[in-house]
Amino acid sequence: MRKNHAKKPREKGWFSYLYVALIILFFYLPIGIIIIFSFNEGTSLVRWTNFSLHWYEELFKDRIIMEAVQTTVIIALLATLISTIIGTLGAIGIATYKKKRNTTMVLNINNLPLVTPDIVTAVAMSVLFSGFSMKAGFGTMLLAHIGFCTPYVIISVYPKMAQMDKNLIEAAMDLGATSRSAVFKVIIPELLPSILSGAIMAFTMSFDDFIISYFVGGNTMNISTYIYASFKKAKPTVNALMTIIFIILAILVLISTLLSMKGKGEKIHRRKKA
Amino acid sequence: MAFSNVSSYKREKIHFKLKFSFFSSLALPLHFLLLFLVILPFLFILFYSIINVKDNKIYLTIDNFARFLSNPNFFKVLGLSLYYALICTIFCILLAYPFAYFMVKCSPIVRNILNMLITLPMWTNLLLRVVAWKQLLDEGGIIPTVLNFFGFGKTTLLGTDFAVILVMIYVYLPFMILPIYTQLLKIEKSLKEASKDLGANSIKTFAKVTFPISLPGVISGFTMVFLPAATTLVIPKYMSDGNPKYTFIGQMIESYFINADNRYAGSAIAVILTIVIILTSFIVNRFDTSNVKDKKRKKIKTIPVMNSRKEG
Repeated sequence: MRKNHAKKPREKGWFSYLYVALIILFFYLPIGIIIIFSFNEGTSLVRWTNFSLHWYEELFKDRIIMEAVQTTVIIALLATLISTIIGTLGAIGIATYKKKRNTTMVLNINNLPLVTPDIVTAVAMSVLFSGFSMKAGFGTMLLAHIGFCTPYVIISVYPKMAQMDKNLIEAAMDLGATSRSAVFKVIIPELLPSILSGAIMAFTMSFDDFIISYFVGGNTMNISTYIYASFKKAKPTVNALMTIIFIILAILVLISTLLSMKGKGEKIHRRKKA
Repeated sequence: MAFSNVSSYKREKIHFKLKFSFFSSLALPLHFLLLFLVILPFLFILFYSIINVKDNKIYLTIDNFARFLSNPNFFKVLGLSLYYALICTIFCILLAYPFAYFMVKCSPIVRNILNMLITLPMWTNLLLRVVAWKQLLDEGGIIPTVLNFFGFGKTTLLGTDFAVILVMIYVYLPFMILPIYTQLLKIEKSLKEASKDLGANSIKTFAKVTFPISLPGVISGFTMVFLPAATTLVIPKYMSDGNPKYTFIGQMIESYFINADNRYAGSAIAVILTIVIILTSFIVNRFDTSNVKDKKRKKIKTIPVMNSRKEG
């Protein structure tokens, strides 16, 4: 692919480049074919007939898909917001525990949903909600998403909080900051990059989730459960949807990669100065 | 003088206590969340697996477990899931290791680009990717068409081992590449140079230095690929084309839980599955020799980006 030209020839020679290129091709070939043929007039994925935006029109006209997209976005935004707040405050809180044992215990419980298979979590959540006789729907889906997103925020924010120089907080408070302003003016700005990356993680997890939404969502459908429900009749509109999602995602990932590269550069720069 | 010292000491102590309680209280919402959305669900699942409801009365029973543990078909399904997951994992290791190895040799910019290129498909909706493959492998898709062109008389590739394993590899390969890559990245160049200076050739250096150090990455990749692959619901559902040969454990839970609305039996399978998973992770972690040999060396942490939880 493109970047092959950018690489400097090294000891391993052409074989390694060919191999890397083949694997990347394996990742992108199916996506590429789907994207190209989403602009095809016909339904065929082999024979190109004519360029048309027909399937995109159909997509935006399809009320059920649009509703599913709306549900997915709203749930992802709400779950991200709530889990980022709970997770950030929680990470700050558990990092200041006096007994390390308690911190470790909370972290272990926090890791539990990360290591159990999705389907077990889904069954557990579903059983919980039916045990409390909550009706499956938007509310239960949102709760479940908050439940599985928060651990990601914690594992992103906690390490940074644990590494943080506690003297910084002491200094702020010696200079007259109240506990609250120390949190908002000192700790959170310092943690911001890891909070952001935790939030991005939470958002993608929620946005892409299938199994948990499927088990607890009832009649409320997000994009994944909609596609699953229309299992028998996969329409080219789904390909148009995939194209849109993929392009948005590609832009986001590109931005975040550039930001992190830039951030790294700045950090090195700052360290050099000091 | 002494007085003021004492008072300032006291004040500090009180101050510290206040501060301590304030900061710790920030974790309260997290505690509620973990209690209600992590601990309670798991207790509920345990509880549901040992009860049944008849005529509005709750009975304690082991029937839920007994009906599966006495059923050879259940073991067949479980074995099949683990078997396909294992094949997929082995292929992933074989494909991912050289990739990660070459990736580490690239310049930092190329590394970042490759990292991005691997992350991107991983973050694309799983269902969309699997549906894409389904269209490519099904009748009229590009792969059977090409095969037909060369004279293989296949109309659809769905419902074959090839399709199931190919798509599994496609979905889970990034989760093998990234941990191996992260671990290989940690190996310092000087270590390899030292090994070469001491007279080892490159094969020996790889066998004695590089590979043992990268092993934790392989093991972490193994769990991140094997577990979700064994419990996947979506991939066999779309790739089997209705062939009952590819009923995996995920679909079995679905069929009890959603289609038959039998929460008790569904919970029992989930409990059995959890036990199998715990056993597997335990066995796999035994291979992680770095734990035994060198307690100081930290095991590689699962980097959040590459967590495979959503790839059910």
